[in-house]
Amino acid sequence: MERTILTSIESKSQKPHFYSSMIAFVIFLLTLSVWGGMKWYIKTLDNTLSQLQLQLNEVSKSFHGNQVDDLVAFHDRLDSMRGQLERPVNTELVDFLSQLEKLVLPEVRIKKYEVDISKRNIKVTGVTNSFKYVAQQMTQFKADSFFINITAGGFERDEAGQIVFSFNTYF
Amino acid sequence: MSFKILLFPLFSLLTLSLIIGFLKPDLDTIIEKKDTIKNQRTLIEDSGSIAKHIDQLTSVVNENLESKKILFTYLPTTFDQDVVIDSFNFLATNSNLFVDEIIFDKGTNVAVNNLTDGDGSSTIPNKQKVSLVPFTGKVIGSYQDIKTFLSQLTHTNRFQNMNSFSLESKQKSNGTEVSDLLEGTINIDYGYLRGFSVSSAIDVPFLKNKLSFDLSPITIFKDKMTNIPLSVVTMFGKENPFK
Repeated sequence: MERTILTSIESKSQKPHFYSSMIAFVIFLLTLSVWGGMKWYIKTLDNTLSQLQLQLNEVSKSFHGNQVDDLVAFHDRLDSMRGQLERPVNTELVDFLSQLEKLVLPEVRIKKYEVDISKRNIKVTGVTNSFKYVAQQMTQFKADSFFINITAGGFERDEAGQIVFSFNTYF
Repeated sequence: MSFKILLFPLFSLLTLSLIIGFLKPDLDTIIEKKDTIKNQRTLIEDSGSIAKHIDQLTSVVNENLESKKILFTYLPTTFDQDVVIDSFNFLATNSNLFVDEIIFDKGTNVAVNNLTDGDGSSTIPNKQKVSLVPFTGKVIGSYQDIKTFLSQLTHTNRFQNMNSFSLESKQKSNGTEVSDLLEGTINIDYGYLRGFSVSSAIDVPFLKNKLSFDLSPITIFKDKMTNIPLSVVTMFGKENPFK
């Protein structure tokens, strides 16, 4: 009697395992068939694509030649011109000179003025007869918003006893 | 008994691996291919309108021959050193300057301002690049004359990138300065754009997207441009070329 009860309990506990395994197997089969379907669909799409590619190649052939080349040449130059006009860097060379004219003291004479537009760097070399004017000239440059981060270069006296100074600055 | 217990996790694991390893990548492939098909169908359907657009743009160019001339002077298909020398000399002479030196360096190639198709979305495949040739010119003259010269030079009718310039008091070998004369040195990159053949208009974004030409940059450029007449050689030929 006791043995019969135990067997019955054992078989009841096995049933859920069986059902869940069956469900898992069915889901696996379904997934497998979906994958198979997808493979078939990809093959169909590939066929469609190759047909379209052939059609497109035919159409493309009719769209080349001098007429298209001329338009592209026109467009590229126009695009380039637009880009040059929209350049953020100031390339009006006269502006750099006007700026210098505004700031140079009457007691100072500029010897060399170098503007590197690509590096946004300016080097000024000048001559004067007193360090007072060198300092005043430097203050003048510093006060102007056009010039950024001004630093002094060398100071030396030339054969005539004049002070030759240089500044380095950015714009 | 123990094998039956393992069946559920085994099938679950197999299903999951199938989904992650095969189903998902294939789904992505399907989406990608469907997009490509859609794009190609649109292109084929649009081919008629692209042809019409090409004709429209051609008539725009033909109606604006002066603009076309300006553009092809701005970026010629060859460098034309003679034109650069002639323009530089013309402007210097017109400003009472003496041309001291002209140097051409080895050229480089750069993309034409990223050469967008107008809406900035993409570039033309195999698009030509602007070839840049560095040029250095030295002139001697008074400050005001050099200023006038630089003002005109900034607005010549050519594609140019101003790299640097300098003005220096002209000195004799013993160090003493010569009156008010200055030496001006200008370094410029001049550009040109070689012609090239397009394989198909369908590959060209501005034709494919049916964008029209915005000619406003030409108007702006024309307003600022310094007019430089073409040099005309009236006499040529010499009996003794060494005399």
